[in-house]
Amino acid sequence: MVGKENSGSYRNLSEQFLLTQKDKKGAFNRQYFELYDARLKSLKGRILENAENVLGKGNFECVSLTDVTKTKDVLVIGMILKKIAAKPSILKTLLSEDKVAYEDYEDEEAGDLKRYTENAEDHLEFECDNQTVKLEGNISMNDCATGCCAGLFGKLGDEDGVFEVIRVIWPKIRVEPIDLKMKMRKSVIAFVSGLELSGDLEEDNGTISSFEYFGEWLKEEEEMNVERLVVLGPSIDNNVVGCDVESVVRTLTLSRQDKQMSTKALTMLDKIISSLTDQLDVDVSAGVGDPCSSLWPQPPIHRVCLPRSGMTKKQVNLVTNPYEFSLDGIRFLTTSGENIDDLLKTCWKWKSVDAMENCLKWQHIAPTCPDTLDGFPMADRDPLIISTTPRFMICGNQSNCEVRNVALDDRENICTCISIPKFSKSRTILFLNLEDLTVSWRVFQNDF
Amino acid sequence: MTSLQDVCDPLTASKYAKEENVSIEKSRELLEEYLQKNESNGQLWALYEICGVIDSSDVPFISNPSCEIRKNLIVPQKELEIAKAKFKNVISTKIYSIQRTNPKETRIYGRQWDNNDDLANVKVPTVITKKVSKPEVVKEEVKEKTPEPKSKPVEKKSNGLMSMFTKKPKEETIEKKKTTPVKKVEEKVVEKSPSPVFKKKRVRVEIDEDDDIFDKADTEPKLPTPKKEKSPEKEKEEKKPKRKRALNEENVSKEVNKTIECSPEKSPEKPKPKISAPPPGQQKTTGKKNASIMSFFKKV
Repeated sequence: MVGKENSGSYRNLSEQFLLTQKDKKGAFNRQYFELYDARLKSLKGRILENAENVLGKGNFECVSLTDVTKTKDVLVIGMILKKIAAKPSILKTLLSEDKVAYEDYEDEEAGDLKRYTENAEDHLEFECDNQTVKLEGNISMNDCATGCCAGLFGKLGDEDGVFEVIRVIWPKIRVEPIDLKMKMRKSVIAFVSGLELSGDLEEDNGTISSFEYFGEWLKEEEEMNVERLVVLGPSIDNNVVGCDVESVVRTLTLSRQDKQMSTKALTMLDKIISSLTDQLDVDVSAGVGDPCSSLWPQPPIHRVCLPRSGMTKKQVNLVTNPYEFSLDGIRFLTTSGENIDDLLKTCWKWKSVDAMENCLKWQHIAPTCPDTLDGFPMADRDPLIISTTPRFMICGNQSNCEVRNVALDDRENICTCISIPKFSKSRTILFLNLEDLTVSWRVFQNDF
Repeated sequence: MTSLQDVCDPLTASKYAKEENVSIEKSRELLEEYLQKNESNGQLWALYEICGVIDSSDVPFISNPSCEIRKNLIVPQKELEIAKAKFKNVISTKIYSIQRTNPKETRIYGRQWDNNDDLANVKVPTVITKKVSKPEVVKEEVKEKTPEPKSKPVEKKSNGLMSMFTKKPKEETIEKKKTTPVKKVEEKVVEKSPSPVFKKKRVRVEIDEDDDIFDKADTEPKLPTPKKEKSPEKEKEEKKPKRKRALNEENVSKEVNKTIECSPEKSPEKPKPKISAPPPGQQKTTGKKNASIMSFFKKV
């Protein structure tokens, strides 16, 4: 890993996702309001900029929520809260004294994403300057999520504590134009997500055999010049590192020669990755369940976990989650999918690409972080803000393979949102051709 | 085809091409020929690779029906035609591997992912080896003779008994043991001065001066001289202090404890250094963390 170089014009743009000493200092005693405060401050300027484009310069007045009246339409900038009655709450659980935790855990084996049931009491709230109002008007539950920063143009409603929304102003989308003069090489990037190795060879036989088959196919393939593989987490099965009673008891009663299954799974992952690094560069991004912090943004997996990968020819990049990079001037943003799953829980109508399109609109990768998605308590910055909209936004561990081209504000640029299913279930790998920016899917399967 | 006759484990075309140093296409031809010749024996199974385009409706994970999906599938020879029928368009069919056991009963893949420790014979990175090699080099220096001390080893054993009481015999002993040619060591050997056992113990203490274990007030001006009297064993012991010394509860190094253990009251053969606790009723030494041996013995 040290001294090796990535092929092509590769640049890792994930510095903002790395925790600095300043972030870590005093983090144990820090509250999350600082993160929300930083988010609002960062996006306020962009909201005003977009408001001038939408409403017209000088045609509106930006005021605090305390100065809003029933007569005049004004612009207020703050944070939206999506109040869902069915959303799990530890307070409700304690009050009701129901053992909901155990019941929910048993239902998780179904595999499908659980979405909150709709309720008539669900509503939107808006928080600005330590005041909260209820939202009505030209805004719906399907337009936003908790943690979105927006500007609302409207006035106070007839009822007390209600704001009538006329128009919603989102942050201005920033795009980095692609250099058309740059020659696109005939190369292909492959994306795979959700290896979910458990450490048991019998259970992982299908995944390992398919992945091994993919590696052998790479050696013989002549049509596609696959030069990079991006592995999105989680690469270790979440159930193996679970905090349930059974896992804890097993961990505590391990004999000297026994190993936790997660260590075997990690060894397996290391062997899998190192078997490919002779042919192409591999980027390994973490996921919730991998041997690293589960707080977003997740740091890279430590290199001691993959010792074999460091002894191969090509480069192995252990990268953050989310992971942002550019290759031949094309910007990519990948996530392991927990951010999208958290958004999908709040709305029945959204698909994965709908949630991704909304993230582009809101200019935030995971607005529900840290409310329902575990996040690191940052002090004076929010690293999950999209400072530059990527050309490709790829999300792993989704239910379906979907592709959507989203037109950005100026209609000249587009962003392609792609959702990838878990490899452990679908055996599907995404291939992206850098020459013509086309997408193709390929399934690697053994039927014997 | 003798190599194929000897094959027991599943053999893929790519692996066979590597072993026989032929192209992948040639290896497939060879495997096909072998399969056709020995197929009637009934002891040979073959796996085929089918590459083609499938209908998106056959894949539950594809939501966009207009998207073309390609599939690479490995099936046993008996199920080849059935599998081909499921493809919308078959691009290629190639032999993938052969084996002498039923594929459903044998694990083809995953053999290299077993719990075998493949890092056992792997060379560690150079950084780690350098750290390990340092003490070995030092040991070699201790054992090797030095060409430089030509002026010193002139005196030989011929002096007899007198040589026993002079400084030089230690040099002879050193020469016998083939000490290192380090100048400093030789100088120390030459400038021997008779010292009791107690002083020799001080030598160990002096090495810890850098660690500030002992008070500076306890340093003796004679300290440089005892170093010259060091025997090769002591030289080795001196080199040992490069490693961090473990401290017991009384903040006294283990080696100091060893000196205490060598007293007639305790057995010197004990492998593990004991924590020297004062007898009951006696006040514990109130020495500081940097207390010297002198202070320790004074209190006793």
